Amino acid sequence: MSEGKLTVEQLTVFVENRPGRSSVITNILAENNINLVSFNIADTSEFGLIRFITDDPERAKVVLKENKIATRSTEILVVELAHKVGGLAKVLNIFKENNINIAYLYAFVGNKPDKAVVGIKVENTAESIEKLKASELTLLSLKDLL
Amino acid sequence: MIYWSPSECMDPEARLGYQSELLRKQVKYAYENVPMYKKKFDEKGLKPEDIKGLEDLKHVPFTVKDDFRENYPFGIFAVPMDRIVRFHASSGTTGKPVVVGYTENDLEMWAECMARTLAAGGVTKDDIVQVTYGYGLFTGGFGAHGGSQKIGSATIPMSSGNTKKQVMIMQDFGATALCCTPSYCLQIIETAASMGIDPKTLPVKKCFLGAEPWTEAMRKEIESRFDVKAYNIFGLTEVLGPGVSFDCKYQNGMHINEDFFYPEIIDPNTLEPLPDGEIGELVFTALTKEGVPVLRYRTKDITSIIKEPCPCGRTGRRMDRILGRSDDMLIIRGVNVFPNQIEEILINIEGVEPTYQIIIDRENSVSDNFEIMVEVSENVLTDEIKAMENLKNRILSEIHSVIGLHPKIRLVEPFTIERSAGKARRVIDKRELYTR
Repeated sequence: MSEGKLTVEQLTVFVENRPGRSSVITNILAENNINLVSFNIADTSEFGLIRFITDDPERAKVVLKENKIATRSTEILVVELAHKVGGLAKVLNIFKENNINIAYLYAFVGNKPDKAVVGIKVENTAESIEKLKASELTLLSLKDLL
Repeated sequence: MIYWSPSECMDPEARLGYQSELLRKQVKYAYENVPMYKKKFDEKGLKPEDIKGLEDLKHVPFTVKDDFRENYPFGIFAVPMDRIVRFHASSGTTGKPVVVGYTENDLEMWAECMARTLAAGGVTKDDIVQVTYGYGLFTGGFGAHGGSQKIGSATIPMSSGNTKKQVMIMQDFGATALCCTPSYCLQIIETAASMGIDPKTLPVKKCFLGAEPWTEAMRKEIESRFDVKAYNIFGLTEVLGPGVSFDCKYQNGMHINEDFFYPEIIDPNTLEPLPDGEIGELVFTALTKEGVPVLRYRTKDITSIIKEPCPCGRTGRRMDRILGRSDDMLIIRGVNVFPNQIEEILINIEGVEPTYQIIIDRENSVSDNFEIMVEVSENVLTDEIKAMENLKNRILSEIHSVIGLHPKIRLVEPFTIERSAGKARRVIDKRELYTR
């Protein structure tokens, strides 16, 4: 567990819903030797929001901006949970019990074989951190994901 | 009945004298009763008595849409409110509508103009006239209604919308004439077909279509699919509403009701009057209006005046189809829209940059598709879909509250709207309304 920051910087890019738009982002990152830690697309019928975590958010913002792509930076919670039956249920029950609304959630690959990792955006980050810690769940920092 | 009124066939020479007389009176009336006209004349050092007849009309200052906006709501009214019996209004450039008021005499004159319009297409008191122009502040519904009622036709005040019901009433009541916008006429045809009704079997035989520009191709399409004669009618709120000019059975230009409205064509750049036959901006002087007098109103519509006599026998000069606009006004589903209105709305939504593009087309020949693309700049980008949808809905509702239309709002990636010399191209109109 990291001692310092308990949230991870996620970037969001707006894309129109047509072929090839997501690969524009991934190609720019690849060409600049920036590694993706997570990648998630939220879609509507007309547009999508690509949300991702990279190993170097500052440089990712710069290279995307150079390519005229606007980004939005958001701090999200990244929770490590047991990769077994009921692992995610345990996490979600904490939010339910404390009446905290989840804006979105997506799972991605962590670097421990027996653990699963989920990125969560909630309405009340500070309260969520407190409750998750009280339930002995591990919040990861970017460093923990590399 | 071939003509509604013998004045439609007045000897052109005699009419010039009549118009000169009316103009002299009207200039004096406007000067004495509307401070705006007095100011315009005084600034030019012009006295009403300097205008001795039509030959002096070129000295009279122009009136423009902005004059209505600056004098909102009643500043151009020439009579006290006890003489006003009706209001109408149309959209203005910045959200404030153009407001007009009619006296009893004005409404009588308007009904006369619309009776001539409908009679020219063969409407008599035996007809059943379905009025599908909107009833309300818009001049279309009540304008057509007044003319139909004056003729003594059985008038169905349907107003606009609910197309299936329009078709049902048309069929059940046996409507023989239809008044609506040309694009709505096409929508009625499409809807009838989708209801399993062959539009040709509907009782309508004549259509009076106006309030938006349309083409000869659309006329052919309507006439062949609906088995009707489609007549072009023209008017504008500032001058009257529908009834300023109209097609006769020859459909070769719209006869202007010259005993009420004196037309000029000017060069929109030099503002000098042009001879008949030349293309320029259409300008109208209302010769008899009491409620809101208009002197040399610049319509911004580009057309020409046909001076050759018409075989129908009417002597009122004809105006050609509208060939374009001398400003950037768009007419979408019969509503006047200025790109600046859209721009102003977007600027006032926090974080939104006014990088937008308006796209209008009439694919599948139904009503206008109206779409506004707005670039998602860094300031409005969020990580939540809900917030992006809220932004879209907010843009839509603000636009709807100002212009009364529901455009499709499409959020697009930054820097994707086509730019020329750094400025985004504001309007793409695929309707080809002004081709002939």
